[in-house]
Amino acid sequence: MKGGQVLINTKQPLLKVENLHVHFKTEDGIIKAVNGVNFELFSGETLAIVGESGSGKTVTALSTIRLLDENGWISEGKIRYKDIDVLALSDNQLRKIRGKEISMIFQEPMTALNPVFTIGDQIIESLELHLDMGKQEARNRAIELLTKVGIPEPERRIDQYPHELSGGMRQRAMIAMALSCNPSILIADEPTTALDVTIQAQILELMKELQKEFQMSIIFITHDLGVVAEMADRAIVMYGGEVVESADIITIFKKPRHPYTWGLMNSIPRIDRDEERLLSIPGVVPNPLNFPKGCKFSNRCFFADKKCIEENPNLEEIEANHFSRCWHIDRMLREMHKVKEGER
Amino acid sequence: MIILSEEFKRTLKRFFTNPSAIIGVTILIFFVMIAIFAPWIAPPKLPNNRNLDKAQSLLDNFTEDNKDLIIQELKEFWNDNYLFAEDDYIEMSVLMEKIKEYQKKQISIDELKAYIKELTDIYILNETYYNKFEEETNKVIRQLKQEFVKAEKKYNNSIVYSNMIKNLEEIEDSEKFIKYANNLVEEFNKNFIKSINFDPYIMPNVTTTRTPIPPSQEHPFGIVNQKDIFYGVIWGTRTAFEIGLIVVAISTAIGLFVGSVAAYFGGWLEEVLMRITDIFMSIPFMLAAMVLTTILGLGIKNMMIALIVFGWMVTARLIRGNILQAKNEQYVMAAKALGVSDFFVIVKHILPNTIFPVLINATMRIGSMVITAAALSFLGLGAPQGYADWGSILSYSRDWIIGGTNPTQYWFTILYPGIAMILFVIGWNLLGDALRDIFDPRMRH
Repeated sequence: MKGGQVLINTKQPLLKVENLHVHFKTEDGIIKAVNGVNFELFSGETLAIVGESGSGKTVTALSTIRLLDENGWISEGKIRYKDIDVLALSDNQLRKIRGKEISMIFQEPMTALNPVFTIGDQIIESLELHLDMGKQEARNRAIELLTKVGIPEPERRIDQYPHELSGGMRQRAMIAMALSCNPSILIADEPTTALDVTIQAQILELMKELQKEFQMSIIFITHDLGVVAEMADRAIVMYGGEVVESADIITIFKKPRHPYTWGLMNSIPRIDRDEERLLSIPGVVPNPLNFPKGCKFSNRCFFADKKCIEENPNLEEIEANHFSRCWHIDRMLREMHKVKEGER
Repeated sequence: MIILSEEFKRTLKRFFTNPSAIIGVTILIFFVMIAIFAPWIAPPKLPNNRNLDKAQSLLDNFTEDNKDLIIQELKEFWNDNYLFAEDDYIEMSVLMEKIKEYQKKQISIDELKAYIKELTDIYILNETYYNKFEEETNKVIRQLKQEFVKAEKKYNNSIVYSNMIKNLEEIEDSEKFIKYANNLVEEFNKNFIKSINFDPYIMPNVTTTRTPIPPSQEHPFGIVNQKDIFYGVIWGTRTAFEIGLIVVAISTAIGLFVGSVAAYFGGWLEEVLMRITDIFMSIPFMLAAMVLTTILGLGIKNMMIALIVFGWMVTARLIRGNILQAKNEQYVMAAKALGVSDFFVIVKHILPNTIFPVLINATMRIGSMVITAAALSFLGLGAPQGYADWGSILSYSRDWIIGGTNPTQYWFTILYPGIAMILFVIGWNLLGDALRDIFDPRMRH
């Protein structure tokens, strides 16, 4: 599963996003939530989009099916799904892609299911919509799906309301809903964040199994690097609406080449290190209206200097298929080296 | 289908195990029964045509010898009432022809007026038609057409009745004769009641003295201002339902429309609609309703219009708030991500999550709307004099609140309509409460 980048890159991407810019109009001004994001998603792979809250990761993913709030719009860029130009689709055509080709699961299984309908109703709705199934056929298929996502007694559960299910069950039902039409891409927006750790592991395991069975690609949005390591083939790290680093999963973990990525790594608690405190990235993501002029990360970065504050670096390919957006990779490497020495 | 009935059964079970639902529904069913069976519980005293009295009494004390007399009486009645029906009908049809010609501009307005004048001279038409013809031509023509329909009906009836009398003469068997004759007398009377616009909602005067008379066998709730309180309370139930249901249904519909349009479209439209709502809300409800009723003119209909005009704002705000909240819920986003169209997102996902508070509010408002209407009637703004309406009966009691020799002397004037009103409101409130507990899935435990 891992390290298959050479093989993958020779294929035609399933989804290709180029130079994506997404803006939101708010009372305080126009927020540039996503600025020039590029990525490709290949068939069968899992791509993780990693970042803190407000980094633009969710907006990037939502843009691929143009599911933005009313005050947001894609101001620039290209999105191609297979041979379809997503941005040129009419609302009607778009609805045929949503749920059928590209489907989504959400962070809060508590609120992502409509409380007034049974989970069966909600799965059947999607089946009737996209696959033209009759009531009974759709119901049978829904039961089958619920069995697949590991819900016990699906014949009974199908007529239950979301509040009658536990959090993990709801997330499973949500996944069943998303997979109902056999989509080629599943966007998972922090699907395990709201769940207990044990349930998290089960859900991740389930998603892996289903990915194999349905042969779909997953865009996995998360801030949890542990989950990324578990799930993803490749990762893009986002900060301030920009991609700051992207590489395959081993490279990202073994050789991070951006201070932000490194900061994220250091903030994972590790059992093999005996530290008093976790290192963390100082400060919080600033208000999107007040990002620094130069490198967006400069006000929180350990290595930042005058150049960083004034000028935003480009996303450079520092080695094959490994991109980073930093002026001071050399300094950072030296620092990393020192830390490693210290550990010994 | 199986799913639906299962769910339906569960809902019913929840409903019938909910004590407030049972009490509320019982009270309301009780009132509905009263409203439906009002004509039997408190039969209105139908006026009789004096000219039929003799025929009726002869029929009641029937002997073979009276047969001819009865037929004689009925024939006389027919002559008095239906002899000219044919002529009237012919004259009116000529008038209709003339109106048609006038509308095609084949004859002048003066010619038409001259003919109307002729008809008023022989008392077929009321003089106002002639007097007002030039001012309100279209309205008068419309009314004349209605007059024509009436004349036609009367003419048809006259033929039917004259045939019936002829049949009567040929009937030999006395029992059949009595039955047939009674039927005919009843028909005559029915038409008479129709022709004088008898309204059972107007409480009849039952005494000559204004002083309230305490409950008795004949008038179980007592009498106030010459009106039988029992009659008023029973027939007032219909008025209460009419006011409550119509006012709440229409005002809720308006509120739903305004609120949902504001919430969906947003922007300046929302701003304008919600500011209009605020303006309406800033006017004290009672005062506004009073002023508007006075402007429109007294009467139940106008009072209802006033209550509707100032009664939709709460619904509008409620639904708008709920929709704005629901719009940002993740399940709406999830539905969109599944490719559900906007219309179905609204109808299937947003409305079911937002409509319950509105329905519950509406149910409870039905009760309170009746109180408000009663208050207006109490102030003399609602129902017309003598109309069977709980508020009107209470307003009669206003004169007797202090009592005669002691303050509680005329207790019955206020107690019975008061109890009716309180039960009505409690019934709707309990039902509203129960509905919230039962139908809102989020409240299920």
